[in-house]
Amino acid sequence: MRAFLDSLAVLSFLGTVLLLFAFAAMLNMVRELQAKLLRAQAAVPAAPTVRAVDRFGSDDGAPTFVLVVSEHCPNCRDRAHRLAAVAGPDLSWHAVLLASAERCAEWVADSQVLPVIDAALVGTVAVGATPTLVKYSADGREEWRRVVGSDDDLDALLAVDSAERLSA
Amino acid sequence: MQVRAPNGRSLTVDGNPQPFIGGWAYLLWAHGPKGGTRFQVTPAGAAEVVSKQMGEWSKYTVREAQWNGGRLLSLEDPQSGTNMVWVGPHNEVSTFFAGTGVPFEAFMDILALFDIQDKPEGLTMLPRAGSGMTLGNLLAVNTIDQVCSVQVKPVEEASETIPRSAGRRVRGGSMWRVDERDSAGAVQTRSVFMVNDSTATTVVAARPDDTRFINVVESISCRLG
Repeated sequence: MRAFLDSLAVLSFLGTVLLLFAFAAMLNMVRELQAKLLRAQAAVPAAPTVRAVDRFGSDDGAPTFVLVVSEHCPNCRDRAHRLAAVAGPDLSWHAVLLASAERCAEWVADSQVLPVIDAALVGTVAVGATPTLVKYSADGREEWRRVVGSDDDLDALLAVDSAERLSA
Repeated sequence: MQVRAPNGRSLTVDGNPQPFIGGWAYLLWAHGPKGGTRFQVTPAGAAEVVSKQMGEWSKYTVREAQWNGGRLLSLEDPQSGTNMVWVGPHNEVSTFFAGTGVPFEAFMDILALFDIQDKPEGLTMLPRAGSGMTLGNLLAVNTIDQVCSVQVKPVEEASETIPRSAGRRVRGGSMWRVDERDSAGAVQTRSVFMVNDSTATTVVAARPDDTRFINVVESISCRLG
């Protein structure tokens, strides 16, 4: 009986050791995965550059500029006002304001900017900072995205020329 | 008073007879595969207030955005370069980029290598696993108004600056008086260098013969945990 108990104890000890090894191996795998993920993120800054959102495509072949904003962000409001001021009916691009809060739609009221209030879509587009301007080609594919820090930067990104600026 | 340094160590400064003018400012370097980057960590709003007081604000092209619950500021000086600042709820972290037209993304990509936690007791920015970054060359700076400035370094990073001569024995360490004199022999700057088992501290007097400076030197103690 004694010998049986001893061997049982030894076996259970061996089992524990094996488990520990398994855990260590698993932990290593997790760490390697973490490191790989970080390296991958570092290689592709902020977000993958090619994404597609069908609803930002257009039938007339013109690109769409989407300004992604958040609610409690004075700069977002200022940039939205600027976008509303420069977006006219005769421009060769479409303008969209994307936000998750209804209130943001007021920032572009009575303008050519189409407000899209859709929290899920904001999550899909997944910008890091706000306000960010994202350019979509006519087929709804993302061309680029940039954080917009000032009205001048917004104008430059939209390539609004000086004549249009003066009339705005 | 105990605060948290950006590298996660606790900084305890006791015995100053007068309070410090404000929160601690930290300089530190992050070294990585692409070289070194210098960061400043200061109380929130410090960069803006200081540059406005220095009259430098007007020459900046200021850009602003929102990121991770804080403000992102780009202060572009056409003459020298661009200061990028992330202003959190309690503290801010800033770094300098040479050149102009630096996109916010450049700064965000660097900050993303660190786990940044902004708390009232201090902002910590520990390198994320796999980022390949290490922190070093910490310098913590504070001021007692009109009396002195206090600069604290980890003792292991100050070994080459410790004098070979034996200093005066004080409070678990040694102390040296350092006077810089002008050509006429008058004391220009008076400072005291103190070393204990965790810190190397320099206290620089605002006026060389101020007794309040002596009082600070006689009683202050700085420790890094």
